[in-house]
Amino acid sequence: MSLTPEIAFETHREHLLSMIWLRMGPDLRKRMDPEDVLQEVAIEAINYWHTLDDDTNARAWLVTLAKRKLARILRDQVGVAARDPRRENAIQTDLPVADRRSGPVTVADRKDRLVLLEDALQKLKPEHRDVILMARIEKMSAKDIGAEMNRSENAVHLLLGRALKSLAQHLKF
Amino acid sequence: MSLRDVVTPETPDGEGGPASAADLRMAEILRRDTQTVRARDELQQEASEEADDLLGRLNALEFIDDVLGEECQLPSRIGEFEIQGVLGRGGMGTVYRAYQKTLDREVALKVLAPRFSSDVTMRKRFRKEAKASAAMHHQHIVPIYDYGEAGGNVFFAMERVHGVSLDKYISAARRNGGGALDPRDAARRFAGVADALAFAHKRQILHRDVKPGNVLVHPDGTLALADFGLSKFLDDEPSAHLTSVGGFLGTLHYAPPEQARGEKLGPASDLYSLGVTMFETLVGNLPIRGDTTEAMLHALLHEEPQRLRQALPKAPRDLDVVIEKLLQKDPRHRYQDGEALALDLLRVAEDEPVRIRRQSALGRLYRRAKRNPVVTASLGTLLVLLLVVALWVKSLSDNKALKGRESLSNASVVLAREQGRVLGPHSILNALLGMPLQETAPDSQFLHELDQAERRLADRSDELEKYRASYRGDVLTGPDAVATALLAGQGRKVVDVATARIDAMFDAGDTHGLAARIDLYNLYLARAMAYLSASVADPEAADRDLYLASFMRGRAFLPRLLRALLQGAKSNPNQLLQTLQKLAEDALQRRVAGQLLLAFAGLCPPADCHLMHFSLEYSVRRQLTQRALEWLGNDAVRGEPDAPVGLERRLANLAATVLDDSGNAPVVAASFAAAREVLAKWVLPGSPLRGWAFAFHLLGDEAMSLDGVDDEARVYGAAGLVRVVQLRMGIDRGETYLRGMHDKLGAVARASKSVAAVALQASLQAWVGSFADAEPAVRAWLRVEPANPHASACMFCCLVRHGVRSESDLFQLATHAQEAQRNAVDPNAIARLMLQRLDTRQRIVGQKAPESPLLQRMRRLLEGSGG
Repeated sequence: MSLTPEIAFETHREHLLSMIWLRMGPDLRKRMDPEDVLQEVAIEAINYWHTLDDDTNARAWLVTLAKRKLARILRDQVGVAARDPRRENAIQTDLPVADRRSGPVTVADRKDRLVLLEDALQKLKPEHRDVILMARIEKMSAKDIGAEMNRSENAVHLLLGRALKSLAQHLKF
Repeated sequence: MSLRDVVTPETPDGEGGPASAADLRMAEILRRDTQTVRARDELQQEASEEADDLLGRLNALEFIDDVLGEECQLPSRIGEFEIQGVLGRGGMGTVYRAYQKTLDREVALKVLAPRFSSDVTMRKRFRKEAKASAAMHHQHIVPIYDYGEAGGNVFFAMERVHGVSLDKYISAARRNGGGALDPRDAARRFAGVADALAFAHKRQILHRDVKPGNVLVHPDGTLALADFGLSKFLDDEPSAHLTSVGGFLGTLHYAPPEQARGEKLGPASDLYSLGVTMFETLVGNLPIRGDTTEAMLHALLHEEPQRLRQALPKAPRDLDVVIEKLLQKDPRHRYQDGEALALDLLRVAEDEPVRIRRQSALGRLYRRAKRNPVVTASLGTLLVLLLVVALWVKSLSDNKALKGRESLSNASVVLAREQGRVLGPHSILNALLGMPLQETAPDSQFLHELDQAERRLADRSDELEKYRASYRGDVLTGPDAVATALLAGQGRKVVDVATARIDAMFDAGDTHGLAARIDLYNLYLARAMAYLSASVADPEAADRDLYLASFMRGRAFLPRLLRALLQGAKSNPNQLLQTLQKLAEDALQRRVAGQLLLAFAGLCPPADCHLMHFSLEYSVRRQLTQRALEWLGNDAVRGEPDAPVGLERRLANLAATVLDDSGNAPVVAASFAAAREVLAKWVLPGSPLRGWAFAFHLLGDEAMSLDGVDDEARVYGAAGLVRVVQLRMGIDRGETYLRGMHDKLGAVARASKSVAAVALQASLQAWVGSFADAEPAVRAWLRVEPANPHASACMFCCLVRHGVRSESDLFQLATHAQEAQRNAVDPNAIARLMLQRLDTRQRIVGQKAPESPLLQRMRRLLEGSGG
């Protein structure tokens, strides 16, 4: 079965939704449903599929689409200049993730895990949070992260290691 | 010079000082991203702070990956259908875009979720419903082409509608602040849907789940209804979707009041749902709303829906009247068939008056009197008097009936709100956990409302008695009382009895109504607990039944608690503990959660606990046990650490009898016969308890069948037997016997790759093998389970057998003894075990030499620690 935008999207759907949920933060999630954002990403994926030159890059490509979509939404919904959504400071709420595709307990588990991760990420230093988001959630390469943060690849790995230590402490691992 | 040149790899961000050894090592692991599993294995074998640090970081990494979700691989084909994409996902399953090569057409393939399709009875019912639905051909019904099963999946193929569902239109319109369709346009389009419902109702098929998500919009704007009749076999009643987790209100929004009350549905119920769907399409909001499930339910049963013209003042008056009629609480006051509705909707579309606007009888009388004042005056007066009296009498009886129905509704609300009597069939839970549980008092408000209803609805007293019986849990009592069976560990019997009763209810069509739903709840829950008993040990089947029980009573506590535990068997213990803490809302629930957790961890459950064994890592079991004991405090009902419980205790006692009375042939024969009976009658092939057949075979029972006893079960049985023998190490017979079986059991252990096998091998070697064989075997166990106190105790025993010759030997011995005691749930018990080892050694060698000073010091250390 050759890779089509639908199949690529469905393959990475869970990951994309988690990324969108985390990136939006509680404030924005009050205004928009992460599932709606995901669907808009799906539409863009279908519309711009022809620009993807290599199927093996599908995930990275979808993540980039999602990030651009979120930046536009922030600009439109929040009414601020297109700041880096990673720098948004989230306020704690109890809103559940509106994942209507799961049964009751699955929704609770999923929401609990995401909230736990989000809470822990918020307690990190900004550069620790950023490197984790870029490396593990957006799956950027060390080289690309280094370019964003003006560091060498080795420094990125070290920073990520320290960030994980800090995260582990907050998660009590 | 750039910042990058100034910032060296050792100081990545200028903070925190130079990179530590752990930092550098972690960076290297991250650089080789795909090697984290091997790195973890290596780190687990190290015993250092640095390794602990790095493992914590890897755990954090794993947690992030776990939270983000895994890639989902689509199947390439299901049956003859080639999968080409996903059209959507819903509560029942996934809808794929698929291609049917034999007929060269694209279809929408709906595949039911495994939890619905894995049950044979469900599949049979689904086929029956799909067959009936497939026979309907109507331009406003999405046709079903085919249905079938392939690879364990139940599916049906529908027409691929190249459009989207109506809910997408509504969402988009809501974002723009309005309705999705113009009112007259909507009336025309929905007339087709109403006609489709009339068509189906004439064929005795109800839809039962009319909602925007099930209305597809063709590219030309025509509406078509999908998923006809398929919710029926799920008993998919909206109030069963009530949950306290975010309150999933989706299906409740479109459900008619009679469905929420658990009453039988009819064509008017589908038309109600259509009315809600139409309102939402026009306005963008629902006519009845509530912030919580409870508020929604109350509004549905007691509050008047918003009128169309309140939200859309310019909407046609007749359409307002039509929708008002559709949304009547009493189904008798709604449209009774779709055809009449369709005609009225077409009249609205054509701006003609609808037929439901009729003049009242008094209005007609008034007009006649106006035409013939003299002739009709006296007659008119009499008629008016009679009418007034008749109306007054009718209102009295209507009032009583209305109040009676209100009481019934209130009872339904109470039941929906109340969490399944907290524990559901608590006698079953008692039996499963082997602990006494306080009976929960019946909700007095529920009984009061039932009494009120019975006084006012004398013709429904049978039905009300059914509610009471269901609430009491009568379906589980009687000659085949399932609790009694489970108390004896007879999980298999409970499964059979519950299955027979569930099937009987479905075959009789007696699955509607509140009473039936409670009965099904009790039966599914009882069966789930039987599946979780050690003699059956089928957690997947249990999870399925718990899901079905949740369907029946969405707020019930026990199914959610049990499902959390089953999920917890696969995930992070911290996560499990947090989930359990959130689920338990009051003292009784916390006690139940704590006791279940204690049983689930399996380190020291009560002696009569029948819960199956979950293969958790020892450190996880200890963590869960400690937390459970913290929650329970003095209320904890616990047994001896690592002692066999439930049915296994019975088998272990029979094995001990054989060992203790080996010279008494009749006693031995009777014990063997009893063991054969227990295993044949009550233990299913998939349960690890079957391994005890191997244990009795080793004990000399030649008649014991080993059918279905695989290697893993043999390891389990052998390990159980070794524990029995070890408890008897004070008797010479014990060690001699173990020595005799050493080779056989060792072969079994080596054949398996499990942790239990490693532990068995190590135990055997430590007790009876040479030091050269024992020491590596025990170290292997310690590598796999470093926090298992028995592994440390095993090393202690191994060293004692080897002999303590120097201070260095003593130091090693003390270290392992301390490790064992530190990790044990009951340090005293493990200390006693180690002392027993010292005694055994002394008994064996004591005649030749007194106990060495070094071992005497070790003994004093253990005794001083409370052993």
